[in-house]
Amino acid sequence: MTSMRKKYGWVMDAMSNAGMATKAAALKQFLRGKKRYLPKQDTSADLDSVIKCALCPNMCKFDCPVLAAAQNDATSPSGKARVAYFLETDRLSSSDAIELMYACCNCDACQEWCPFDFSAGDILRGVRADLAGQQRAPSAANELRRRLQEQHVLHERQVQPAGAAQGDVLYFMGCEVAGRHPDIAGAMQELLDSWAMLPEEWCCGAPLYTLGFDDTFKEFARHNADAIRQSSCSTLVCSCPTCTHMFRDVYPSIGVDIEAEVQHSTEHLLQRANEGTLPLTPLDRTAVYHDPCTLARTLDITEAPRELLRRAGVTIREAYYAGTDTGCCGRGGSLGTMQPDLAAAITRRRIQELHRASETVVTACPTCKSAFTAEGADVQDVTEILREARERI
Amino acid sequence: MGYDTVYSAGAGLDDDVIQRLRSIIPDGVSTREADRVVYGKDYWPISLRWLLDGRLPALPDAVIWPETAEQIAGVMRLANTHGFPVIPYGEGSGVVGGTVPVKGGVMLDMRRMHDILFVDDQGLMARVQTGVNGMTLERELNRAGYTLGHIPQSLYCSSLGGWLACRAAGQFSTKYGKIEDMLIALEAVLPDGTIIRSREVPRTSTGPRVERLMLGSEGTLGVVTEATLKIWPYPERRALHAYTFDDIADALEATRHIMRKNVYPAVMRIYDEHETLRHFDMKHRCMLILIMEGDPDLVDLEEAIAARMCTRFNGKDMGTAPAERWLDTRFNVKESSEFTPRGFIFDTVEISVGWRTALETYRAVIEAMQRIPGVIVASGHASHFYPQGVCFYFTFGGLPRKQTPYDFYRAVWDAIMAACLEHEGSISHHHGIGLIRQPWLPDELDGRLHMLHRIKQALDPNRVMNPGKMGGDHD
Repeated sequence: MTSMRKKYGWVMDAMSNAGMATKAAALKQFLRGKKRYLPKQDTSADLDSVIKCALCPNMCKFDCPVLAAAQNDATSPSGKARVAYFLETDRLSSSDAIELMYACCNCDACQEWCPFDFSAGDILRGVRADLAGQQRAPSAANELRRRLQEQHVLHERQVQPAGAAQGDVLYFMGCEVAGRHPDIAGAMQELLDSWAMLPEEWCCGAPLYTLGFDDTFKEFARHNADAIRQSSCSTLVCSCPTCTHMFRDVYPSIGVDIEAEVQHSTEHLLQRANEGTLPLTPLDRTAVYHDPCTLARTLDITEAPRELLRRAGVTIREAYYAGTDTGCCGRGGSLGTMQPDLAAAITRRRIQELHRASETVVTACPTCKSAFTAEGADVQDVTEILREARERI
Repeated sequence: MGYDTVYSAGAGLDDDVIQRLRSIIPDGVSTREADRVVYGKDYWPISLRWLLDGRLPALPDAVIWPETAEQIAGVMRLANTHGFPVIPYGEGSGVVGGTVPVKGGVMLDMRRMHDILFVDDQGLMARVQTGVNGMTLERELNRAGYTLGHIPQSLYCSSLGGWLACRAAGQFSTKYGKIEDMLIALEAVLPDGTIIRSREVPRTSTGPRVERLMLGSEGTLGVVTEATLKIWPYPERRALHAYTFDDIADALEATRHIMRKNVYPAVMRIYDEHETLRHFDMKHRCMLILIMEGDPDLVDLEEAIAARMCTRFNGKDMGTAPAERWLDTRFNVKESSEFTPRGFIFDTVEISVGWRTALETYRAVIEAMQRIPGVIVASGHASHFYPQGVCFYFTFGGLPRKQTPYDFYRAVWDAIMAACLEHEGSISHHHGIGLIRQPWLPDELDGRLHMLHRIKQALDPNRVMNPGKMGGDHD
């Protein structure tokens, strides 16, 4: 009530001068008005948020990497929310409108500026779940789900966890490392004194969650939670910020708890460095550090990777847009799968920005590394730098 | 279920015209439904209510994204040949319906032309393509050590081209000026496809500066493609102050006397009692926010003079907290999202008035709003100051009573416009005419409207540029 008074006190004050009929009408509208604009059927989409976003003047649009790359107002957060509202209320049904619901890289840049603390990615996730439920998801989304259901990982594995040592730390590579960056797995295994791995890693399920395949996502979450529980490890370390976020935050939100402490690799390695169990000999390097969106904005980890790099003797040249003000690599939110050309355009913009600081790019997310590498940039993961610093001892 | 349109569902452009557009702008033409839905509106508040009712203001036939002035010239020639409307579009943040394609046609989105072409440190100028987003421009200038000083509340969602098209004003305008004060030179495409460019000099005495007809023309006389703007070194010091007054009359007198001293704080804002409660949680007071910035010695002097004037008119020093709060919350635009779904109609209306009638105009407009049945909120603040007068920015909100939402909305607007003109004000300070002010343009411009029509006839005889605006379909 206190917060209501604070939020709407000025309206109540204004109302005190109004006549009885106006007061009664206002109260009725205030309490029930919204229902008029909501569809009768239940929706996965949070339509209250969709409407608020649709009615906003788009105060976050300048920082939307999708809009900056697509150069089409329809791809702006509020633009998409307007179309989403029309889709949810059956006013629009065209394929281009549906396609638009997937034009988001889940970077949460919009949330940094939103007076309601919304993220377009969160808002669209519910809309996609409704589309999936109505069998209206685009073929690329359905194909991705089919692939995951069949092979349980996004890419063909280049690293097999077989022969893993045992320990109290469970290292979870994630699809991108297993399929595209075996060197990161190798670096992590060298940096960890003892470690365990799951006999068969399944994808954390982030693409399924993002694309609104909620039932399949739950299957993956339950499978991973069981496997992690059976490992009996007390700490779960992930190379991928999105895997970290899934295990730490999203699984519990759907009632699937991970008992182990979930850490991103940079958190864990800094902890070890602070404990004196990760001795490093400084290299003599200069690089720009690219903050992965999920690591910086969602997990609030910006300092750990920088501190590790400093201890490894890397002089960091900061990009102008860094920390929580970072720019997306383009591949978040499965945009690389759903709209690869758009994702690549975002990647190129970010590389250009990073290269203004340094030609050598370091990051802490295998998906960012994949995106940048695909566009010809030279990129290393923080763990790869640390391995080099450690090897010189 | 589908949706309907209030004004137009398109001009019926045929495939041949679309193909010709594609030949001019390869990869820059869309007829997709979702694009047309998004581009069929700006941020005119009544259209938000329409959206929830499943109605769009209008639907264009196509959206195009040119990359050069020459492409725009080609589009204009095609439009004249085939007689279809072309509506320049920046970021779609206008609040008066200025970019609504009331006769359908082609939305010409300028956003692909967004480069900062040249920064002249010695001459303190920057040449910029007009499709650039405001915040992007300001951030890039800040990065290079400058500021434009044009910080409207719509900074995040508006464009340079939009600012020029409606003669915009920013929150820091009392020091840095309005967009027309910042403009040195421009490049524009006229309705017949001619490209004009003016010189990057501080002033000329070479006849009327005809290129300035583009300013405030709201896309009816041409498309500005580049602008050379004044820039300033990023301020070394910023000082925040706040004073409260017993009533708005004292606050206005304090600010008028600050201006008489030739002191130009970057920000001066007076909130009436209603808005002081709303924004600062203080009852029965009027808040004055002052921000000075620039060279530290000049800021010191401005602070001292402003403090003296505020004290003279019984201002109570509130320290820096209210100004900090204003800075922190100035871009929080939530009311429309919060209240429109609850059936409330909200809008803001800005006017310009000389000091001689300023106070009585403020009171008359507040009373005029309050007289309309259903109005619950009627408030105002003063946000841009001159030695000669002031801009008042009014807010109204309420519930239509036995009226359609538009009729209620129209009634409040008409009451404000009438009260403003009756007290010798001008009906708009910086939002422009668009659709909502159009019925009042004859009273505002009087004989000048005929002059404007003659100019329009000379430059755009086929009326292809944003038809139905700035005086409508005159003969």
